[in-house]
Amino acid sequence: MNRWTYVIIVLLLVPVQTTWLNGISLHAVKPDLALLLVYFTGFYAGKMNGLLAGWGVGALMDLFSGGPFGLKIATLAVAGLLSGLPARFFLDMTATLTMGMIFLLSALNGILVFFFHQWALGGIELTEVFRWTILPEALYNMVAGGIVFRAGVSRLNIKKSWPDEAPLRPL
Amino acid sequence: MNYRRFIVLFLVVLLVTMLLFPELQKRPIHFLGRPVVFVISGLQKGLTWIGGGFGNTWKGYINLVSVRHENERLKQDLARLQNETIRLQEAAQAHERLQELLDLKKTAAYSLLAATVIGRDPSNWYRTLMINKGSRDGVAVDMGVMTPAGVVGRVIKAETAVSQVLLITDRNSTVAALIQRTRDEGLVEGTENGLARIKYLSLRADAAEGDLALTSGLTGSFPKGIPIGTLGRVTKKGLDLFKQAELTPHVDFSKIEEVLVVTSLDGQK
Repeated sequence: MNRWTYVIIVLLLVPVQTTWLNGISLHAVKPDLALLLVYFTGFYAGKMNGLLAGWGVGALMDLFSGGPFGLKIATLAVAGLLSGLPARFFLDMTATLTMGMIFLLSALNGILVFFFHQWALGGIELTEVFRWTILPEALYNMVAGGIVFRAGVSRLNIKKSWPDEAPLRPL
Repeated sequence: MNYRRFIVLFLVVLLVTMLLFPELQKRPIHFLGRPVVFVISGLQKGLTWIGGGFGNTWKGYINLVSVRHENERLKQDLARLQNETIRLQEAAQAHERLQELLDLKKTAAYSLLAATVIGRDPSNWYRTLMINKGSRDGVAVDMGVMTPAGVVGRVIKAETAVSQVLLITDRNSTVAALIQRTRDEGLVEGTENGLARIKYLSLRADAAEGDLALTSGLTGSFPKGIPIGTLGRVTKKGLDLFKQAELTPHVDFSKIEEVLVVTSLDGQK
């Protein structure tokens, strides 16, 4: 993908996330486009690029979020790094596999946000937050990730590139 | 040669004679002409029918083309009028909402600043709104935000041209409240499921389901008496020193478009 296209996508991300996506929110939960962008960046462009994307997108999100500044930077950077780690084990991605990985990543990201939030502000219960935020968000992200994969990534025929490491050779 | 000329002359004279004598015209010529006329007229009819049919088809086609053009024009007119109707309905609704805000602003004993909601929190973890008024308009951190229906939240960030408002349904929000009927005091907090609850109600509090919670005016953000919500089930867990109750806010936070910021509690503009 062209670098400028990527920059435009990143700049459009926050306005879209804060305005249009509210129209499709279910019980005040909407898909996290930032997490999806970071996942696809990490998976297709490598863990270091994922980490950098997470850092940049997280900073933008933190500017517009009611949470403590730095929370999204930290959690999305970790998500970008984690997205790049399993990429070398998969030569061909399917929508189902993508959805499964996004569900796991989203759930892990939610738990991480919980711990960061608890450390910074405190006062929330994991069971409640898992029931009302982490799980619905992971499910919604999974569905949205599947749609993005089907509509965009697979059609544009985006191939994996590993600038930071070589793929595993088959035995 | 002369013989032939004579025959031709004879035939011409005979023909002229036959044509000139009306009596002769009635029978033999007519009798001979009838089948010819029948055949020719049949052909005539056929040609007329074909010509008529073709003409009608052509006319129909021409008409259809014009009908199609007219239909397209009418469809465009319809779409334009539908859009116009929606725009007018939208304007009427906006007028109604703004009129309510204006009425409240005129009658309120405190200073209010109208603002439009331009966005919501990008994450699912916090419940905030972004409004189009900032520090240059006089908005500052901790100012209260409301609608004619009741309390919305308070300002947590005031940039130059925009501000961020923490909703009362956010888990990090607290607003000092008062039960209208019993005058018991408590604190309204947000919950994980996007609702609110009122905590720290005295054990002797007589608050019950259906009671109205208002701002108590003890914190600086809001004047006293602004509606917050209606109480649900009142509970007390085990050895807790206080009661708490579920609270359904009066404001529908998913549909807020305009809000009022309480810029001053003393009514000075």
